[in-house]
Amino acid sequence: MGSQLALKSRIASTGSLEKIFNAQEMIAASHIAQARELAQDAKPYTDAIFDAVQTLVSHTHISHPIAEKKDDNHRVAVLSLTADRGMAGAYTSSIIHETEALLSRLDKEGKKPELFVYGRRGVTYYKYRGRNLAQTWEGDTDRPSVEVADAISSALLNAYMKPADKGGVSELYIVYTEFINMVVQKVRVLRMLPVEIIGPETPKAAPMGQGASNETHPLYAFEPSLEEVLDAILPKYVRARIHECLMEAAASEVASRQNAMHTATDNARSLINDLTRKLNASRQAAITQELTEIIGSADALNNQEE
Amino acid sequence: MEVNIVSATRPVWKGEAKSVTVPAYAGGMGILPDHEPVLTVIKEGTVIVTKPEGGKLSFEVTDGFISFDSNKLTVVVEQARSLENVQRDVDII
Repeated sequence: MGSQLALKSRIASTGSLEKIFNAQEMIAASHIAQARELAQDAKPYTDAIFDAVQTLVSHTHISHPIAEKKDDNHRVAVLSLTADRGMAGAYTSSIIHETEALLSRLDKEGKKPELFVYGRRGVTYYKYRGRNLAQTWEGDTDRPSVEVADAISSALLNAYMKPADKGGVSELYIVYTEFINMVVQKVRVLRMLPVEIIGPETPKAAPMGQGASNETHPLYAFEPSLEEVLDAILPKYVRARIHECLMEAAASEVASRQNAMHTATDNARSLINDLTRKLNASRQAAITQELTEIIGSADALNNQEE
Repeated sequence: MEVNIVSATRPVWKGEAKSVTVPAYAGGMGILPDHEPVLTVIKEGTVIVTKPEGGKLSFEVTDGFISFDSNKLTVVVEQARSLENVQRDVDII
């Protein structure tokens, strides 16, 4: 039976922790609304770029370095998207876990992975372990701006477009957390570069004749030239996809923070309940003991008088 | 024709238009309904939209591209800013 004073102070401190967790949960809930708004605002742009790339794919054969593999180079880039702040449950640790798995897999395939990290937690983790990081970005992981996406994609595209002997890379993998819903988020590895462009879902040309396919795909004019259009659009496409990943990671981060804080609040509450029960039991025991002592001594006095 | 102007951070404007002028790579390029499908790189400049009832809207845009297909024009740019509505009808063309 612990001392009542100690129990009381533990209840008080757990109570204030509970308040903090609860506040964090509410903050996370409000950030989710922000993240959703951000994603909705960026969606028309992303859609427009995806449509344009679809058009390019269905009208021409894309031969551009961004869409084609350079096989001669065994250096690859890995970008892992972690959080800036903790208190998000297993968010960052599962990303790091998956990144490690990917790195060792790439090592086994004889590739030389270079690590790019986004998010303070991930950066701290790797810095502490003395790992060489090619480049890092910090800040705004729960509200990724277009500027951050731009910085990341231009750095990665730079590394990708560089020739192999100057430290270029041949592939880019992104480890991020996919937002499925408020409760479920899944860590995913995506190969971003070279871009795999999926054509229109229904191959219209195959069953129909030549004339029909000409009808469904009117001749497109690309100005000033196809190459320049590709040069302009493909980097934007990569950036839009990276921005999408960032936003999805941000939504997952906020959601997993909300879940973690919700669990923490629940835990704090049940801990307070347990402690209160212990406190009551110990108070009761103290009262019982006092009563026994009083009755015992009264009995002794009575016995003496007789 | 339908016009949709989007920037990287947010949708800017959407609506019907009689004609649109965009800053293409080699100078202004006018687009009227039933133009041939086109995908063009554009540079920094002003996009001018003429509305069906005659009013004009202009937008200051940074680099990007436009795509026109089945009477739908999409202007995709990094940043866009709506300038003051130009209501005078004919004198600016």
